[in-house]
Amino acid sequence: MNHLETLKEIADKCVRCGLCQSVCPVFAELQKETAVARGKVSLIRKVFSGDAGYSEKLSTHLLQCLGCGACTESCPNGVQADELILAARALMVEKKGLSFPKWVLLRKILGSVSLLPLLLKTGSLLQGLLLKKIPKESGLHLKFSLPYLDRHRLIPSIKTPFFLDRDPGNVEGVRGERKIGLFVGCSINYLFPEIGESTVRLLKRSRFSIGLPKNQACCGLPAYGSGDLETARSLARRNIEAFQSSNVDQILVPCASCFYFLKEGYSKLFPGEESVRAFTEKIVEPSTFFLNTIGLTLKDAKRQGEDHRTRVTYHDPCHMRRSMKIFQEPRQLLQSIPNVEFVEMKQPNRCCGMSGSFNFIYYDLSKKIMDRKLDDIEGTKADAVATSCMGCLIQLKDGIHGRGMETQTLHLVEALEKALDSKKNDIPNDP
Amino acid sequence: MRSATPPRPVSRLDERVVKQIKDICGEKHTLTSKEDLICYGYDATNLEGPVALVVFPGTAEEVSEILKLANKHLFPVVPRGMGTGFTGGSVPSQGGVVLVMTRFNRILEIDEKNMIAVVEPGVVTGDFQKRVEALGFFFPPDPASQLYCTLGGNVAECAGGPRAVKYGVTKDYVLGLEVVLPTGEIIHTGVRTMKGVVGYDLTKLFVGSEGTLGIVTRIILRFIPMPEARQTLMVIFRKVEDAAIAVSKIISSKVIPSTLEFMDNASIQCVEDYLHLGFPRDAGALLLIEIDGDREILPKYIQKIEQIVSELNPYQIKVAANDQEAEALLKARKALSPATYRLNPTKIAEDITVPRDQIATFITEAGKIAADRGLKIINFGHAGDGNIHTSLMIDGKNEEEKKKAEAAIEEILRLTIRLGGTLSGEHGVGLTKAPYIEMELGPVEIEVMKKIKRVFDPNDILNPGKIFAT
Repeated sequence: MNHLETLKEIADKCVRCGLCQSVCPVFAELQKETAVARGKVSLIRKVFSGDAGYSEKLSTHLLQCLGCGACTESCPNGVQADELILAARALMVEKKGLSFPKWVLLRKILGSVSLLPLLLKTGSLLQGLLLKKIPKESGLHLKFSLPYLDRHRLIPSIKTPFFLDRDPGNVEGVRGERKIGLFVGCSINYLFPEIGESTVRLLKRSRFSIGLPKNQACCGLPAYGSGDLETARSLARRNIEAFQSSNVDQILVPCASCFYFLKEGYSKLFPGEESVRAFTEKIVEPSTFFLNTIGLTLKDAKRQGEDHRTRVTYHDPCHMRRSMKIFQEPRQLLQSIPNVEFVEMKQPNRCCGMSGSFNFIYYDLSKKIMDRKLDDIEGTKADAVATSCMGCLIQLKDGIHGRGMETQTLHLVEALEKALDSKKNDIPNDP
Repeated sequence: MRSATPPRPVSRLDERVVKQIKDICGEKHTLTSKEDLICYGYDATNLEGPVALVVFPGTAEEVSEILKLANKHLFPVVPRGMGTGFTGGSVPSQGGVVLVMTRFNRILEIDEKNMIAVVEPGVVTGDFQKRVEALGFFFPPDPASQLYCTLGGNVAECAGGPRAVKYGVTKDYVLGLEVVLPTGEIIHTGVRTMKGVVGYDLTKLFVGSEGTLGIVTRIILRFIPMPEARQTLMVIFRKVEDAAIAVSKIISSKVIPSTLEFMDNASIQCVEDYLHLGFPRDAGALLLIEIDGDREILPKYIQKIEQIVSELNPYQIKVAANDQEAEALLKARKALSPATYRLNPTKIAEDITVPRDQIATFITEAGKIAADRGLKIINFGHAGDGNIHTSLMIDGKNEEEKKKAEAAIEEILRLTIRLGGTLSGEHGVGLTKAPYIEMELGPVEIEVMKKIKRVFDPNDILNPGKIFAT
């Protein structure tokens, strides 16, 4: 069966019961059939049957989807609507090409080794002119509105030197210990190098050797999500090659979206390729990885000193919970941290509304979706919200800042390192 | 001045009419692009109709203006909620304007003292239930789609659900309505009291009228106190007949469960494929029983039921230990309807209802009718009230199988009538059952109904083509 036949089969499986209307975050805001999986699947069917074309309107409806996978997860008939919508975006690009801004962004900037760092370096020099500093959140505000950028939103500042340009220090671990590769991803490399450094310190603490190829690139998910398979494939190739020479046992990916794409997406880009399969098998994420190393020693420490407790809640990134079914591990890890009181929000697995470029194209909509998440976080009265996806983190930081909430935002590895630092004397450094 | 009757289906409207509709409801509440229209031509059946325009009115007055315009230009208007009906009730089979009621989404009043609520029809049933439950009350009607269907749709179809066996269906909770008549007048029916017999009961006439007599814009509902406790148990039987016997015996023992749901072997297999609950694959049938009431009395009922079913030597009796376990048991039932498509891509779904003591006969006979033609049949539903969702699962692209299935359905419907039953328990007639109503209704009854339709809708503009095939 060819690709198109497979897609037709997925589309035909939808019986239009309408259940997806009760779980889709976009539908909850727009209340339009075109916003929800049932409508999009019906449209795609009409395109397949030749009754509708690859129109501008179709493109809009296809892009108005977070790809959060709530519809697929709850579909009683097993329709993979999220996959179908992604595939339809790719067909759209195949038939009509990329829009000019996306073509520049994906093909010319993201797809290039040197241009993205160069542009961002320039950006880091200029950001003082366009943006003003918000010291508390270490973020920035625009001094005036730009297309796609609301001036009130919190923009993470570009931090130089970039993570990959920094010297992570001695990375030779204990002889005989595993060598762990670190896939950094764009957000950590350019915007949040401190999260990368936290991860490195955690790895060092456990005496692992670290492999950090400097020529690694963007994971490719932004291109894939926009239907640009060409760029996604070329980035994937580059990453696979980058890690091939550094001889690592496992590759740790701190960002949930990068993790999902490296682990699941790459084999879809290159079906049946052995070297790709070998690469994806090495991919691991922090919650499972650290639960099995540091988490074990934390558990013993947990019983000691429970004087000052921090309330922490966890937001499930869609790529982690829905796509990879990883949701117990981060909770177990947080619960094993001394002095952390873990509280669950009502809908921890509801999308935060970020979803890459969705957040830029539909900022107002994205904000409405985020508002429900913020209500949920506020309801827990947590001191901090932890998550493991850089996209979610950027979104939550913007939202929490915008609402003037006191809640801290943390990447899971930061939460872990903080805990280890505060209990330095109680916790043995050895795994 | 009325224009000449345009041929139907009406797949496009005159530009001036489009502009007038936009003027009434606002440009942003009107959809006209091809892509948008495609998404409002269907419901949860596999039927589709051409849409000329989609409009989301915000007030009863706007609805009235649109209906007046429809009478002037003679285009069909098809009311729609969330489009989750099972008989094509909101499918624009004759084209025209799809009028979506989801902007009417406010709960206007909850009067705890009198235990009534005033709501708009676009409120999602499950949202309303949550609201009253938070106050310690209970709104029982629970169609499987309660998390994503609207109260307006429930009123139009007189929706039921598992709890009907003890608590009745939507019509038992509707006290009064605000309705826009097809000719544009806004009327108020019914009462805000528990009793009321002044004039004909127009409220009951509108409930279950499938959007053919008027468009409901406000609903007065009653609700009841939440029972103190609930207990759920599941019994898996070796033979399907045993389950039917159990249903009769439970009811005649004078225990009325709040839910008494039935699944046959094919249903069990479907659910097992989807949810992996560990059901025995060769089980003949399953009963899902929920009882509710005062905490003290429940163990007595459970014991009585256990005693009745254990005489039938079942595979398994599982009493849910807590709410989560009960929820898990109920989940299987809620997920079943869409999951049946795992058997075959096309479903011909019926929701016949027979007297409770005829369930076993019905299932055996219907099974034979299907088997004789080599067709896959699946039976599940509300055994407690005799409402069985019997469906043939076929490959819709196979013409020969389709013909066989049509013949089988006709025979199954005749069987239903012979056993003293009715063609539809809760889904309505819509388009899918329209060809068969003469099996159940006499020519005089049908003529009276058609006359009623003409009184309300002389130009046949509101949801035309539904209920009556000709």
